[in-house]
Amino acid sequence: MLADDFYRLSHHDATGKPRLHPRAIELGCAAAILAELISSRHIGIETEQIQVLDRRPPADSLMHVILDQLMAEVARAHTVRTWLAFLGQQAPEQIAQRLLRAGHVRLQAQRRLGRQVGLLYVPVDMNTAYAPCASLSYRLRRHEPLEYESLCLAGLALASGLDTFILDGAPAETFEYLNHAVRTLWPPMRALLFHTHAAIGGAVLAHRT
Amino acid sequence: MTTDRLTHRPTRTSNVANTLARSRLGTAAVVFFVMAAAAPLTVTAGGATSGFAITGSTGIPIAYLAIAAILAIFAVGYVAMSRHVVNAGAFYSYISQGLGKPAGVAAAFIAVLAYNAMQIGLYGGFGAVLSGFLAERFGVSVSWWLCALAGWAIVAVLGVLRVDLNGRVLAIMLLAEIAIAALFAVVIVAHPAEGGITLSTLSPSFLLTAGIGAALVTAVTGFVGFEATVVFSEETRDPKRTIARATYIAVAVTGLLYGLSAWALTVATGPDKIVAAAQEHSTELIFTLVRPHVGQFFVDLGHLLFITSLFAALLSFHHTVGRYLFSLGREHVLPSRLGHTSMRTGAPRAGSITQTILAFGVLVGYALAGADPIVHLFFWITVTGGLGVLILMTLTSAAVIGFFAGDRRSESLWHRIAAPVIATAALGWVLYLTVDQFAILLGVDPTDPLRWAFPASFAVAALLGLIWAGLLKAWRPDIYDTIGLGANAAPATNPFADAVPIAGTSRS
Repeated sequence: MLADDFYRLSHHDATGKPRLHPRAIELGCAAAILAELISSRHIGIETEQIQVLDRRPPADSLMHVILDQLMAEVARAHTVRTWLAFLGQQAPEQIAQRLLRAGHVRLQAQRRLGRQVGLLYVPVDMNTAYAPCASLSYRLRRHEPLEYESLCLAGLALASGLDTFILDGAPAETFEYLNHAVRTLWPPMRALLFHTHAAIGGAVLAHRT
Repeated sequence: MTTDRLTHRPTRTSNVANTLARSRLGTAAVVFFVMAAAAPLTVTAGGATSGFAITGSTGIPIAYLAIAAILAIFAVGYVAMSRHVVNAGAFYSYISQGLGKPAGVAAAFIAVLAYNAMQIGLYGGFGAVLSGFLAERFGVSVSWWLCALAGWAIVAVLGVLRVDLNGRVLAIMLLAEIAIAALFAVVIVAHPAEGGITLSTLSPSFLLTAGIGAALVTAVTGFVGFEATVVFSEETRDPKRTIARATYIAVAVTGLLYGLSAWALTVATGPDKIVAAAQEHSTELIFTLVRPHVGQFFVDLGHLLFITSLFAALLSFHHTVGRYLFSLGREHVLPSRLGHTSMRTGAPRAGSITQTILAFGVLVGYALAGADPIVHLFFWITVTGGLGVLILMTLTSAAVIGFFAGDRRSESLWHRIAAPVIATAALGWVLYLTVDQFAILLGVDPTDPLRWAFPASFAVAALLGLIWAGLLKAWRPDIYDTIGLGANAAPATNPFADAVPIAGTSRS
């Protein structure tokens, strides 16, 4: 699933520590969840707003929860940016919990100076955790055409700034190819990624102590 | 619970709005953010005393109050415009939307130069004060540039790692600074020189005397940083009111603090002797004056807070420059490499490193030339930065008029026209006086070429900006079209935009 793959991509395959700064993780995970709902055609994006296209509950419990939240406030017409900010507060945790339920990660206490400072979701299998990154990196570097799901993941990576990690050391043409490829995504996905990219850039500017 | 019932039931409260509101900023938080960066003790102990010493003007106290009044009027239009321009508050985006894109690019170049000057100049103050403190209290003799380079190294690391000083630490330091500045002011007013307490240096008649331009720009320099309130406009609970209130409070508090503590200095020495005393003691003046009355502990505390406040200001201006370069890089006005951020920390890495390298070059240059850190680096360079910010504020004020000229956007006459016109005229007058009296400001002979070199650097920057804007218009119209619009509305800079791909576009 797309959000799972984005979570794997944005966290270290062995330690489970984030590869991105917290705001980028939050907004990226929120976008990944919305991307799943767009892909299943439950929602669409029109002029900066999210439309609910299909009210039937999705099979996945996380998607069910998110769709309920979207439907409850559909009349208020929040912008995509508002939804990203709102969902971002819980999205990384929610995706990690889904991975936990599926047995892909295990919980580990994060310690610093002997003190527990938080929880980490550590991948059970490093190879599975690294697979999305390896596959994207390999295929993008060979300029291979990507199918829909991988293309969405590549788009999320580009929007959240992970492209420099996936394509580390690649020539400029490869970045060019990635940029070109994500432009072929269908409009609602591109709109989502547009807002994600802008929101993460904005977070850099409005950073406060 | 069926989903249909959920959607059709009229919801009284919005879960989304409530959750997001919890993390939003109130007025007090915004005031703290901008004032901590302004570092009050840097100005009351460093800026004001150097101002007296170098400009030889006794009108510094009234200059602070006058500039506070002008900036309050400037803030009326500035804040009104911030309600309509969704952008993280860079002067240049306001100017490009109000006065046109070429002016915007010119302003961007001026801003990069001005904020760099502010930051690098502060290293002079930091190095000199730290080295003086070490020599006096610990008997360790370290040259100023070694101290400055130590500060530089820490700023360089913190800038890339984006370790900001913790908000609570900054707030406590800020309150302590204000408390100690107020305490010192009260103590020295309680022990006036012969002749008693006199208000003569607060007399508005100073505003019409010959050397006042130099005093005014010194005062402007002290306020740089307050313009950052609008950066937070998207994160406040009530953007319409919070930002306006925070801006006025920041201007009023800093204005009163600066004006009154500068006045207190003149009371302690006597208005006629303040210049001589400031020339003799430089940044030590305020500490020398209070030492007989408060004891060594408070003097040491004052010194330490002076040093930490200089450091906080250094770090804050470093971040400002980094952010400026980042947003220009992101809009592709400057090389897009500058738009790169650190993946792990989100720091505008390329911008930060660029600033660090620049500062290193200047520091080494000053060390090799053996120039005086307080006069030639701290005062000369920061007031030059102040001049640049003054130019930006004047242009921004004019831009507010231009912005509302086409569309009133339901703002009142006072917000749209009256206040911005008054502010533009007042800031323009201050600007004229400053450039006219720049020799006094530098303390050099009126025929000295340096007197023109400093102001001219901004003219050169503006000219380069105009040329660059012309080239962008010819070569990259897609980028030119989106100058100053910010990333939200800037299709050319977002890889997911619907724009038609342009041949030869490089987005690496």
